[in-house]
Amino acid sequence: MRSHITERYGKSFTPPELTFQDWGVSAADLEPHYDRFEYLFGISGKAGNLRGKKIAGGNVFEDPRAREYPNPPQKEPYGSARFRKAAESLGYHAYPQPSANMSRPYTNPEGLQLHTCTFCGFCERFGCEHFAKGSPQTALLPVLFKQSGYELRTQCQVLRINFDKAARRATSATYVDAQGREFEQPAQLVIVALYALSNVHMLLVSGVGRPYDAQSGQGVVGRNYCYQTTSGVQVFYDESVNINPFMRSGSNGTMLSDFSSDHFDHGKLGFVGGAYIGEIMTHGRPIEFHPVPPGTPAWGSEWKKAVARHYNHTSSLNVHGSSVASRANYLDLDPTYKDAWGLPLLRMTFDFPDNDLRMSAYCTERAVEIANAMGAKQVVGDPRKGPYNATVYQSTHNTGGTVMGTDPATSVVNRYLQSWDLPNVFVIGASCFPQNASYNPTGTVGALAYWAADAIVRRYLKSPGPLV
Amino acid sequence: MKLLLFAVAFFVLSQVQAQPSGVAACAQCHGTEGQAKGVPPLAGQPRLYLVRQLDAYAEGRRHHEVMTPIAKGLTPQQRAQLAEYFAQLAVSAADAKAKSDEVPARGRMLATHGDNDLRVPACANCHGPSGVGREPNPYLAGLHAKYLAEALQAWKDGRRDTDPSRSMDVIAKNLSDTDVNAAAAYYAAQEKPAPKAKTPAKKKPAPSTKPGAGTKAPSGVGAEGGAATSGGAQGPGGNAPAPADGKN
Repeated sequence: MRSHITERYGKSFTPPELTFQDWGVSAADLEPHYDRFEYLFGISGKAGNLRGKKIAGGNVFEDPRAREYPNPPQKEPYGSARFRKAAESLGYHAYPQPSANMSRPYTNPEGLQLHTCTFCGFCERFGCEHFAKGSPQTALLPVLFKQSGYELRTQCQVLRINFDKAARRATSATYVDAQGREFEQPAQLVIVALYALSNVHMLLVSGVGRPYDAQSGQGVVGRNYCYQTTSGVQVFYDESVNINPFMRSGSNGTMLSDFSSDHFDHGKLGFVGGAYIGEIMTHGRPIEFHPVPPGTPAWGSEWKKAVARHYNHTSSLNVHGSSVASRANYLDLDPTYKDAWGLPLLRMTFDFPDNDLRMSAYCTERAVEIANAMGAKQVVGDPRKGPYNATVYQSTHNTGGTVMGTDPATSVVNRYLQSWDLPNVFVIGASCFPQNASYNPTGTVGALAYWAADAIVRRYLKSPGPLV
Repeated sequence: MKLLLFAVAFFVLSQVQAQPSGVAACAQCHGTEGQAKGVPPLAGQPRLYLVRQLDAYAEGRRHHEVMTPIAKGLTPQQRAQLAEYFAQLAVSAADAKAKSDEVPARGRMLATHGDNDLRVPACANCHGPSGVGREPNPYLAGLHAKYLAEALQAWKDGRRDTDPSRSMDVIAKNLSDTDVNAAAAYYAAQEKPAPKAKTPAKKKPAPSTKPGAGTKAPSGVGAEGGAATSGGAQGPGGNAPAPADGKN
């Protein structure tokens, strides 16, 4: 990202406090690994660029892919169809959001069979009992369980990675089981694949890698922590438009990438990054979904009436914005609070960089224009404004803190996700993203996991040592 | 002339919508109320399900020595009208209780949980609890075990092609003959769905008689900068700002 922005807009375009950087891998490097991940999970979608040939109806801004998605897109909900027509009338390039919900019966390359999604509306926060969602328990674990040498130890908590500093080798991991017994598990190779925030915590409590110091800007672990700059637009229709929000799957809808990444000219806008915009609704669960227009009382009979009036007649547009790295945003160990095992908690220091608030204002405005073309009675857009508040749910797309890169001074792991300090430690997850490029992280997490696994199997195991 | 005849026919049909032409043919076996004993009930089955079956018989995607020639003899319009007619018939209360045979545990397991090793999802996921049906999927409760087993067997053998999601094709193939019979026996022993209540007339909400009386609820205001004043976000907490929250 850094090279591209500098090349297109010049070195002075980016304020010095923004520390976004290059990934160290290219889209072409990762393409086969994205492909493998998509075929494992049976992703439904439509290609917009097959080997360089742009295809209308797919994401024409995407990097070239070698072949189509394993499954065609899911059915387009009514609200999403209205979005597509409105977006196309404004000259934008709408496409179905790729989804790990099956659009037809599918048997993945591991031989596991998945079933057609029923749009039950209980997907994105739930396990799928219908075998209709690509997830580890449906698409991979049954195969692993049959593999000799595979063992899953549940209800265990790893406390730290132990290492021999002189030899630059991790030697073991210490963990406690459900009964509180402590074990030391010797290891030739340690793969840290926790949640993004927990990856950072594990390295910090273990003392692997130099912790980031915000004052000096030196150090790497905890650096470039990023989030997701989300905002939304409500599209209120009259009662003749029934959108049936409950008939949805986990990532069901239509979106566009005309305003994400650098697909539009940032020259006069004064920010980097962007957002995908889409009518992507995942459910109509009434405790969570009760859209009402501004001015409605927050409780009481008037509120209830408004919920009943608008429940089936409101579309929500996502403005799913990028989050750039900034010197002041980072993760470190809390000096005061400790967890149940006496380890310091992870501390998050974060606020939205001005860059991202400008991005949100601009992209939300574009979404409002689309919403107005959707035949709405009333449109309400809310660009993200600071300060950051952890009490209101926005996203679980936390990224950064153990970022990948080509320079040990600005990254924790190399381009193969291998620790610069301990070559037998690999870190996998969204914590390796140098910044959050606006899209949901899972696809890239999966592609990077295959990319790293490929390097481990083909190169590292044959000759253990630094791969770079 | 042809067009005129058609127009007349259509006029006649729309006049006697309660009983479109062709009902007599169906009634010979299924009864005028669509629930004669010994044949699969039509009453109260989803309209879309019924029309798909008639179309499938006519187009050779489902086979039955009696049904196939009858469906082939009907026009697509007639098939649609017959489906609509039988869909709106109520399951009669007298017939609602099926005899409660012994329910096989295996059948109950397949119906309510499926089978993880066979990768078979629960029948209930699509056919509703106890098989009461879920539009556009038919109810199975109280149907004859032999009929249900034959339906599954037809999918298993690739003789039936009536499910656009192709779920039944895959699921039936994963079931053994014993499983097919167990699932069929379970649903045969369930009570037929209760008669559908007539859609009640829309009640007008009572106008607020005491404006301003009592404590006035505050207008929705965002909980943080950038939070929506519009509510309706999909994240936990309800008044969270961004609809993007729905995704995680």
